Amino acid sequence: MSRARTIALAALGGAALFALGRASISATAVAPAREAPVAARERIVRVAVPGTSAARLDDRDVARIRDEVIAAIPPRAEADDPSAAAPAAAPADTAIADGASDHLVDEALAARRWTSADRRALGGRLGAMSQAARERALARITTAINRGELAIEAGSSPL
Amino acid sequence: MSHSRAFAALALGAGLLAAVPALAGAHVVYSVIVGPDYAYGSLDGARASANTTEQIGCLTTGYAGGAYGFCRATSAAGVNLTCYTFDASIIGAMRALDSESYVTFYADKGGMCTMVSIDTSSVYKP
Repeated sequence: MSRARTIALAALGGAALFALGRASISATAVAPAREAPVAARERIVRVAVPGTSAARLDDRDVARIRDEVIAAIPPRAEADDPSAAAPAAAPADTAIADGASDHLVDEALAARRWTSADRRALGGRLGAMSQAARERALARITTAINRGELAIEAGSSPL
Repeated sequence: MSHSRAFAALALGAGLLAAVPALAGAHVVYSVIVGPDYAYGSLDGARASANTTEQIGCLTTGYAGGAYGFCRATSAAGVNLTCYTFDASIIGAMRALDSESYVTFYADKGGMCTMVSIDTSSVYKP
């Protein structure tokens, strides 16, 4: 290898290291602004720009990396929107609550009796049920009472 | 009984009468009426009825993420009408109910409340 080629290779390597350093600094500078969680910060290190070698990173590449890093940071809805912090029932829990309430009403209609225990059981599931299941349960109970098909325990409120 | 003792007794009686609060003003008792899709009556009327079946009232229930309202009326003959709602306006009307209220509500065939009226007045005072 000639001396000129050695110098050229060293210069190229230096440029590559310099470009990598810029990319790294840019990405790290964006993350703290959103207070990215640890998992998201780890993801920043692994961000790859397809078809671009480190040695040829320019301002446009850095901008692309920054955009991808921002896109990779999960939104912190709980910090921005207080209502998002309210616990929502998981789909599986909703399905279980819906099924249980349907079963409860089925049983009551079969027995033609709606008890205070039934009312408490339904009330305890309301928060986890889907809106469709809530409406279905209340509609079935009220229409059955109105038709005289469901007796209500004396001294007890049906719902 | 001496004259003075009779006078004292008379004065005491007059004093007691004066201490009794006056029962004045209009007071109407409405019993609970239930039709095919409507019901009305006053809470006072239901309580004052001679039978043990009449009742009328509404409730509101809040749960995580929402609320619903429910009204129920039972006539002297034991006929029930109930309705439910998730409508915030109707729930708001139901929340105005108190012991001096006269309630009217309508239900559709699916049991949903289509109208709820709460009239609170001195004439329904228990």
